[in-house]
Amino acid sequence: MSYNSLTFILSLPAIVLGYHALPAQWRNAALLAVSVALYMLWWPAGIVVMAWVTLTSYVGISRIVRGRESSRGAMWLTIALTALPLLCFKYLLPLNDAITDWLNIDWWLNRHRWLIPVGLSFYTLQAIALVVDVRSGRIRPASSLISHAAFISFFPITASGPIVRGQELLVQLEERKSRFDPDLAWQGVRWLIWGMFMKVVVAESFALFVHAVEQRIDTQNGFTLLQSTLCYTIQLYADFAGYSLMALGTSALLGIKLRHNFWHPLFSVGIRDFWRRWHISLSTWLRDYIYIPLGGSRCTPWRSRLNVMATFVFSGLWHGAGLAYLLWGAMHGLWVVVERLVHFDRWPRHWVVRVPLCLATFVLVSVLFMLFSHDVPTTLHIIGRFFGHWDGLRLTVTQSVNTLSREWTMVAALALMLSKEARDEWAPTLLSGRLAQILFYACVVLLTLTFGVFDRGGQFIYMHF
Amino acid sequence: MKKFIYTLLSLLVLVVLGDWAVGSWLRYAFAHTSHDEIGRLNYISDSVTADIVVLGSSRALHHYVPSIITDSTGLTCYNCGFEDEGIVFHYALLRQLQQRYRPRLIIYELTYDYDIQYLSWRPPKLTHIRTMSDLACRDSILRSIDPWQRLTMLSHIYPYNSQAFTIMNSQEPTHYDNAMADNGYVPQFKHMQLPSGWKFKPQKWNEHVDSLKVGYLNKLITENAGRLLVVVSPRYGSTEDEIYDAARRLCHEHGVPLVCMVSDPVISRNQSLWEDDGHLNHTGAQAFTRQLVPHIKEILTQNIEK
Repeated sequence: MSYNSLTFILSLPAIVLGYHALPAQWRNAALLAVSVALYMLWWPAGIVVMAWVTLTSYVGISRIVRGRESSRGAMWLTIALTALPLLCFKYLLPLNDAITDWLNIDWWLNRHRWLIPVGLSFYTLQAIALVVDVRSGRIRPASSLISHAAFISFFPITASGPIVRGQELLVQLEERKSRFDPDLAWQGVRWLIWGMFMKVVVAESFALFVHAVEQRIDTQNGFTLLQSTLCYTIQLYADFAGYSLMALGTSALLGIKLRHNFWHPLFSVGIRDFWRRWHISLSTWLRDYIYIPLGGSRCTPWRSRLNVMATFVFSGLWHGAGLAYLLWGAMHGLWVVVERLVHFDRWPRHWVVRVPLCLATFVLVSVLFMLFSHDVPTTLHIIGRFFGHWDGLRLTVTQSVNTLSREWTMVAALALMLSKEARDEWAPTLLSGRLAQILFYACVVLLTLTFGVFDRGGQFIYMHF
Repeated sequence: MKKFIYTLLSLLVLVVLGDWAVGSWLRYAFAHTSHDEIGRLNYISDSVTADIVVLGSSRALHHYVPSIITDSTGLTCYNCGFEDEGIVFHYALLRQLQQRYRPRLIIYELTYDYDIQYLSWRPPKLTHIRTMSDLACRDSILRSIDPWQRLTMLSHIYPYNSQAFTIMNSQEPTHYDNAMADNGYVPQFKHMQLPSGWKFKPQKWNEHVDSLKVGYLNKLITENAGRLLVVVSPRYGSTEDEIYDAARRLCHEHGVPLVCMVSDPVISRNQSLWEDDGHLNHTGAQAFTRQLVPHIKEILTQNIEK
């Protein structure tokens, strides 16, 4: 069930009230039941895959805890079994297609296409992290299968993350600290309202423009395609960050505090800074479970650069099988290596330097994100049109979405989003009183009702990863 | 805990009051808007009295020239085409129009992706339907698409959702306010440019039928049989005649004529008649309307004979 659906909005108060009304010892079981029920509304058969990931990781962790002397082998076996559905669903078919195309053969697997269960990439990484953390002694395993399953299937985060660690969520579930916290709950209401605004107003209004352009790439001039490329980044950010905020908000209402998954990435200066702010739960996961185990930066400079490249290539492949994702990861890795070589972090950060660097980062990130929505030849074709068919500062998108009112909605929504983010980044105490908050968020609700796009189906982009 | 409840209640009260105030203003402003698509919608709902009305998506808007139809038939004609709108909206619009009068002939431009095909990423748009009068079975249409709409319509703002800038933006004329417009028809004057090396190739359509769209198409056909002409206007380089077979059968069952000119040999391969591969330019629209006139005359004659 989608966060921006009315069904979810209406059922949330009942879930929250029911959860807090239960005795503490029943809450994890109730949470698991709700999570499973809501997950099955996406795709009922997907629960089998989630059950596999839950059981393999739980059994594996139990074996690791029982027999520490051989725990390395048990850990790898558990990781392999836990990651098996992800490998099959996400990589088997593309790999099969590539090989059969190359060998020019046709067999039964070529005729099969299947859906990737919602959130598989997210909860698999979550389970793997738990296995590694238990094995390294950073966290104690869940006391029961119910707590473990409630951790893996925790409904606010199953569809698109954030990828939470055991230290963050399992501990709160186990210690039954999730009692109602009024301040956290008010924070949760604010996150939900703002997340909804980001998704329904910002992301969806930008999506209308981007979609209209992408329907007819060959009839658009370079200026329109460049604008659409930049708009896609804003759409992607507002969509994913909006989802993450709603996940945080829902968790907060249940008394569970999770960390931010985004921290104003549109203000990033450089790609390294971008990755400190964008999809933080994934970048820290990659750092802790790929980059550091490979040796991190505590090795020769060349080996360290290789580790960076390997980590980003893994990141690309996590998003999807295919050359475009691999290239996307590799380009980010390469840029991070270059920033390290030129000691970019030590460059002056005066606003005169910061603003153009921030804009340059945004353009670079946007151009790389083209590989998210297009294959490599189409991306190169579009980049070619940037230069070959510029045709002045005029939009060529079909008139149905070229009305000034929709552009105004996009500009006004973006301006409000950036203003709030600038306030959160540089002046977090400004207008932070309760009355100011109530007034601001009441206005945000009214703006969402007035300008939100509710009829496009409202799926979140990252659910497809 | 008390503080949290008071905070939440204050927020709720402000939202309810704001919703009522802004929604009331939007309702008033919407009814008095005479420009862009809202103005067009208001005009069609309140003022059109033409004998022949044309309904359909942008392909209707840019393909049917009322003056040619009027000159050939002696009957007044109005083009009620709307950009990016499909069968559900046009069915509602016709019901709204028919609150005032019954046109003698309804021409419906059938577009596969808007009226038949299931597209998960493009569910039927409800934006304009929400603003219509309930007499035009607005609520039942909304409920058939999404049962929760009954609840959302309790909001005063929500029916006018995403229309505020259009209402306020009266200065900037859009193509609906085009000075060249002829009884609702909006001409286009560009010529399609094809990429070098472009070749005709059959377009692959997903033949997944949307039961909701076909249900409303069925309603349109059954409720208006005898004064309805369903037309598929040309598409550049099209060879996709057979995707309309289901609609053809539906029309045949109810005795409604369907004129399928989608791959018309004269128009669909003449590049100079096209604005883009889905829309004719003004010259193309004139050529197409002239070709259609005999079919219109035929159905009008049949109706007189009946």
